[in-house]
Amino acid sequence: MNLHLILPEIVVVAGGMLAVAVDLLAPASRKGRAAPWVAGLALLAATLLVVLGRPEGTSFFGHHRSDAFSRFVRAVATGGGVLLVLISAPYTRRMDRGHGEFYGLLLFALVGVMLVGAVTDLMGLFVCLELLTITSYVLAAFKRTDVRSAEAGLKYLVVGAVSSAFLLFGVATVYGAAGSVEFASLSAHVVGKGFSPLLALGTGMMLVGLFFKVSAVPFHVWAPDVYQGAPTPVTAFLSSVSKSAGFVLLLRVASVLVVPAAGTASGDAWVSFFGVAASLTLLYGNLAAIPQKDVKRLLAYSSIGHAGYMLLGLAALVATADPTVRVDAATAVLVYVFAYYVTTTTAFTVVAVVSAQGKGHRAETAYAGLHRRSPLLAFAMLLALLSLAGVPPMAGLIGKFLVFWSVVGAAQSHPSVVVLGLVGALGVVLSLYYYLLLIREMYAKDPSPEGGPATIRVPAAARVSVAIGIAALVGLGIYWAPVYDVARGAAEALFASR
Amino acid sequence: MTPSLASLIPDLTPVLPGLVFWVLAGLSVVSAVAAAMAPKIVHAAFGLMAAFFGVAGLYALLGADFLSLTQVVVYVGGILVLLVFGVLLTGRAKAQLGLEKPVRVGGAVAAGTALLLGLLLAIGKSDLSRSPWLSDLPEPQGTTHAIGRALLDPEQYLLPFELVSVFLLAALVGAAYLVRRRRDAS
Repeated sequence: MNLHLILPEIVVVAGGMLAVAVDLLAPASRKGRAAPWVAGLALLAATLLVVLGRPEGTSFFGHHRSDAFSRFVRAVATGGGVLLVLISAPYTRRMDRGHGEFYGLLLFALVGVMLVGAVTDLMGLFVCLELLTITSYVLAAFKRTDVRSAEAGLKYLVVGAVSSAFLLFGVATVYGAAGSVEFASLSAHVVGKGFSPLLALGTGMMLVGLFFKVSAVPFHVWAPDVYQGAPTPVTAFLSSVSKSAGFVLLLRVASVLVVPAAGTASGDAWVSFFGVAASLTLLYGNLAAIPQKDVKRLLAYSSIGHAGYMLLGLAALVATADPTVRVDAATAVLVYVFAYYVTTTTAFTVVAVVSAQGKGHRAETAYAGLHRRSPLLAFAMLLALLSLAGVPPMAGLIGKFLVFWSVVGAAQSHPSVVVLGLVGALGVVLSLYYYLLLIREMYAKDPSPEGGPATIRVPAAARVSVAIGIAALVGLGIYWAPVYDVARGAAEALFASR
Repeated sequence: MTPSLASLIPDLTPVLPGLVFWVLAGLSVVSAVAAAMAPKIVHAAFGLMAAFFGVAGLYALLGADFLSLTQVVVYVGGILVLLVFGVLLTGRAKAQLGLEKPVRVGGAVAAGTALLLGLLLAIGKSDLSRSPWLSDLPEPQGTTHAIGRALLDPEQYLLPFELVSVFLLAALVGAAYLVRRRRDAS
């Protein structure tokens, strides 16, 4: 069964259970000391196993595939998980209970994400996604006594249940139409018989379910409230891990079901499907972010906008008839996911430390004159915002550049995607405006008397994660070849494996 | 020549599955809508129960005996009963629950007694050990065996099955955290 191939997952599950158990057995005075260490070390070990062990092959008789694509996904999940533990550690230290549960649930959710790239049928795909979402509901409501957190958990639960229902109904319909849940035979079915109305309905419902998860317009309404209400480390988790998993799944579903139909009439219909979703998401996210005064809400709307860019890459992927451009587009989405992951995690690290002052997240109070109160945090936030806007030489630029490059490539076989490129460019201009407003708040204003103490003490764990974030943001922006190569290998494996 | 009695009864075999399907489907959809629209929470619960039964019937019609029984045992027997208990025990005003009408004790007792007597009569009359039809029945061709194999066969669904166990653990841990009373309050 090649169990060594799923060793990284086993390590993370064991780490999650250990975190719960250790915290349960610890004496009352030492609660919460060990859980972050257990979680962090388990994730670190899993990252090393994935990156250095380079697992290759299939286990469970082909139901779990370790290839370049799943390695990329698992490395992002575990490596990013280490960053999330670093963000969470200062936050959980202030809790009086629930440390073990917090890290246990975080690790279980990450196992779901790790497997998202490795499963080879729709059943596995659904179970992974549910593992991720059900833990997210609890994590969003983790501050039980806080009304906003409870509201976030409840809203996420309702929306998540609806989206899961869409996805599962879509899976059932696809199975009814094609007679299989295996990716390989589904692709073969589309190649051989094309899209029957039933198969199109099922695929559409699966995509809608996934659009909910990545907060694409018009399925985005939950995102701002949930992002605002959830504890900040959980918001970081939702905007990085959750969103990446959603896009990995979208890539998978698109490559399995939609790409084989490229060039046919139904293929063109899917191009419009993705194109409309991408342009609506881009415009809405970036326009609605402008009037936001709360930094967490601002980042929520900006994350909707960024989902739009990634959908743009997906639209290019389904539009093109050229296999090279297709790999380009998938690479672009993966690099974008990676860059966005690093950027948003850095931004939310800053938000977590600033909100620990207990003065909220309002831009004109908590963030006014941030560079005088903590030059490190202000600098990290500056870099993160510039990266979100796609200003050189930041990581975000690479993702945007590659997405637009693949749109240009796709335009050769499908000229109408040029319109999408123009919408994307408009989105970049809009987003610069509201990011610069926040930068002005941090650098050009004096600290507000309501903003908390004159200097902000940054906890050691947050220092480490900010340092990693800054190094990654600038490093990736200047020397991006390694990440590009790995992502390209992953994209090639994505199309080779179906 | 008079037609035999059997030929007087129309042969329903070709239309019966369709008929049963539409009845069950109608029951499921109508009661699901009723559950969603009911202004009283107890009425919604009963609508839900009818919908669960309808879906269980559909599963049975498809030959999925295990799924059908699980649907009844888990959803009707477990989740719905828990839901009704939860609603009744949270002590809302009766008017909100749809229980504002006076309870008719006499009717309830009469119905319960009639049911009990009928069941006792039926049990007393029957002698299962001597029923010839029982031994004539073919061996059951249920799906339970196949489902069990498929779930635990590494070539089929062992990986999702193992993942579901992690999933349930996560759900338990999460639920226990969210509903636990604060330590200082207890």
